[in-house]
This record gives sequence, structure tokens and C-alpha cells, in this order.
Amino acid sequence: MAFKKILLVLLFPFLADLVVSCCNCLGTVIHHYTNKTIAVSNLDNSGQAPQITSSASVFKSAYGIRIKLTREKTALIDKPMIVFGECAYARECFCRPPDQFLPDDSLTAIRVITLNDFNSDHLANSDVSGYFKVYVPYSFYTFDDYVKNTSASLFYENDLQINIDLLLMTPPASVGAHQFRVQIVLSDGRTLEQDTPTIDFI
Amino acid sequence: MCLQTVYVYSQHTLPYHSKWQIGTSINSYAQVTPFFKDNATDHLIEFDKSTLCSQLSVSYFFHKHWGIGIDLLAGSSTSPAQKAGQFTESMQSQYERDYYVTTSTGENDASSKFNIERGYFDVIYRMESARFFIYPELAIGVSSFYSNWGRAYLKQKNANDVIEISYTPNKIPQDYFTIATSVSFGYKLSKRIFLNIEPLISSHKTGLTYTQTTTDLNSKQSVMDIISYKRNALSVSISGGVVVVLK
Repeated sequence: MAFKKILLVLLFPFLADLVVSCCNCLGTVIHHYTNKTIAVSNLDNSGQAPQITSSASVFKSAYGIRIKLTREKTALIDKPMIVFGECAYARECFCRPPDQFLPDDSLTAIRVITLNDFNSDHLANSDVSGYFKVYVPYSFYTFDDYVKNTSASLFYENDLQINIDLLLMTPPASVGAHQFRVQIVLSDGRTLEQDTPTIDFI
Repeated sequence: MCLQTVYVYSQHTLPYHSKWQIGTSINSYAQVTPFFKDNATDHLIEFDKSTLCSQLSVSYFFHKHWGIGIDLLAGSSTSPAQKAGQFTESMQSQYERDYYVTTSTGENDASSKFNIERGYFDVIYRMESARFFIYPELAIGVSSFYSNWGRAYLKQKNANDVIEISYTPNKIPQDYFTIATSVSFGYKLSKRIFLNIEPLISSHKTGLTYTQTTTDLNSKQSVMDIISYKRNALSVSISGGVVVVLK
């Protein structure tokens, strides 16, 4: 009996810590958002990281396109989702963020169309998406992989506006002026598109 | 007659009277054979060409001349932050002409203060006079030190290409079989306190290898190379300290 009492006294700090660790988490408020607009810019990646450029020319091997995708919250808000038992893991408290943002429409495809003759196989108005890759330091993704593997569920309002960098991994053999049309196809059937400024590949 | 008895006691009985000894000393260690390869991976190994260690020794003499002992040494190499900086400098000097270099390593400032550890089991031969002693020793043991991973991203100048170079050691931490021989000698300050100096020569088998993986992050194509370190590393050390006779 005395042994059990001693054991209880010894375990008390641990049990107290465990009880305190149980989270008193607030419910997560579910917001909804819709993909609204895109704005595209030319990128110069000749330096350490891609930078938006308004220059008239760029090294063709260091060219890229930045898509600024703007998403807006819709009026729809779900009731707070209270999760019971979301407590001590390794005697620490992890609560979900107070907000979650779910998409009403999601990206199904990203396309890049050349508005000039890119090479002998891809004349003006051809799809040159295969020559670009999405770049997230230090990883490259095909457009399909990026769309499939990027979570559309967000936890912070700041994440509603994102930049997607497309880098030209197979430049054309020749130099000259180039302009591209970027299209983002959404699950609700809409297509967001914008043209890059014309730039000379050198 | 009485004086003669005292003389006989001090010359022949006072030496060899101890059974247990404990010693503590400062050990200065230096490599004789070059272990490092002038490669970037040298800076991922928490081991230096020379360093200072703290040493603790315990000896038991079961015979007038023979005893056994244990030596434990712990030291610290160049700080992890300095090592990481040296790795970055090494990668930059190789690649900065064509690439922007960004590095990271497994070296952690929060890691143990002592990242070089040695332990020996000794066989000791004892020779003593009333005031001086000399103990030749033969030892086998283990030398341990950490070898960390390292990574560099090389962003090509004026191009979109990025290359990753990663270095992975065959195991962390590394324990190496070590043999050593030494001579401990010194002066007896009193019946129980000795001043001690101990030069030591040791050899440890390393077998340390790093796998260098170079990956084109666009095409995902990789090339692997093995970097092998010298199998036998010879080193010398000298330690100085105090020995206390317990019994």
C-alpha cells in the first residue's frame, strides 16, 4: 500500500503535466474561397533567385513567368468545428489553427501558350507548357504534378494570394521577341488567363 | 640498526604499495598521418587535426609490477557553427564561379559539448622508486566522433538549372577500434599524490566513407561517388596531470 502511495506521489508531476497538456482548443471556423484573377510578369532568374523584370531582354536560359493568383473569401462560413480529444501528444498541446479556408473551385490545369513562333515544332498559338516547370525552391514540378499535389486547403488568410513561378527549362535555339499567354483552368469551368509583356530572348 | 630499517622501508616497501590509483589530466592530441582529404566533407567531421581533451584514469594493481586500467577522454572539436561555415566556404570556393551556392549541414550548435570521445582498457607494467615512477602501458579501446550530413544547392548563374550535392556518411556517430601504447612517468609529491606526464601513440581504423550524390533537380538524374577516408590514422598525444593513490 505504501508503495502505491509513493508511486502516486512520484507520478503526480507527470500526470499533472499530462492534464495541463490536454488542449482547450477553440473550434476551427471554416471559410470558403474562390480563385478570382491572375496577373503575370516576366521573370529574370539569372541571379540567385527569380526576380520580376521589366527589362526589354533576358537570357533565354534564365527566363520565367510569375503568376500572381488572387483568391477571395466568399460569404459562406461554416459553424465552428469542435474537435474533442485533441490533446496531449508527447505531452505537448497542438491545436488546429482557428481558421481553415476551403476552395469552392480548384485548379485543374496550368497552360502556357506561345504567341510567337517558339521553334519549328511550336509555332505561334502552340501549347509550350511542356517546356516550363513550376519552381518552388529548390524543387521543380511539371504543371500536372503541381496541380495534383498542391493542397487547396489553407489555414492562413495571407495564403489566399500566392505566386507561382514557371521557369523555362527548354529554351528555343534562336533568339528574338517572345510573348506567352498563361491560362489557369478551374474546376467550375472558368479559365483565368493573361498575356506576359513581350520580351527579347538573348 | 633502526636507521637501517627505515632506509630499507623507504627504498623497498614504499614503492609498489598502492593498489588503486585515480588520475586526472589534460591531454593534447595531434594527428601524425593525414586523415583529412582537403575535401568539403572534412568540415562535416567533428574531429580536428589537433585538440585538447580531458582525461580520467583509474588503475588497479593486482601485482607488484602488473596492473590494469581504464582511461576515458572527452574533447571538443571546432564549434559546429565554425565547421558549417568552413563547409560553406569550401563549397563556394569550388563552385561559385558558375553557381550561387546555398548550404546546410547536420551540425548542430545544441549538440553535446564533447563530440570526441575515447576509451581505453590498459595493461600496465609498474616500475617505481621512492620518488619516481614509470609505467609503460599497452591499450585497446574505441575512438568516437560525429560525422554529419551536408547539402549544397547550386543555382547556375544566368540559367534556371539547379543542382543538389548531398554528402551522407556511412554512419553517425562513428566508433573506431583503437590500439595505443604509452609511458606514464612522474614524480611522487607524497605517498598519495603523484605528478604525471604520459606521452601516447595510437592508431585507429576509420573505415569512414561519404556518399556524394549529385542530382540535377530538373531532370532528377543523379550521379553517386564514394569518398573514402584513410583506413589507419596514427596520432600522438601528451597528457599531464595528477595521480591520487586511493589505497
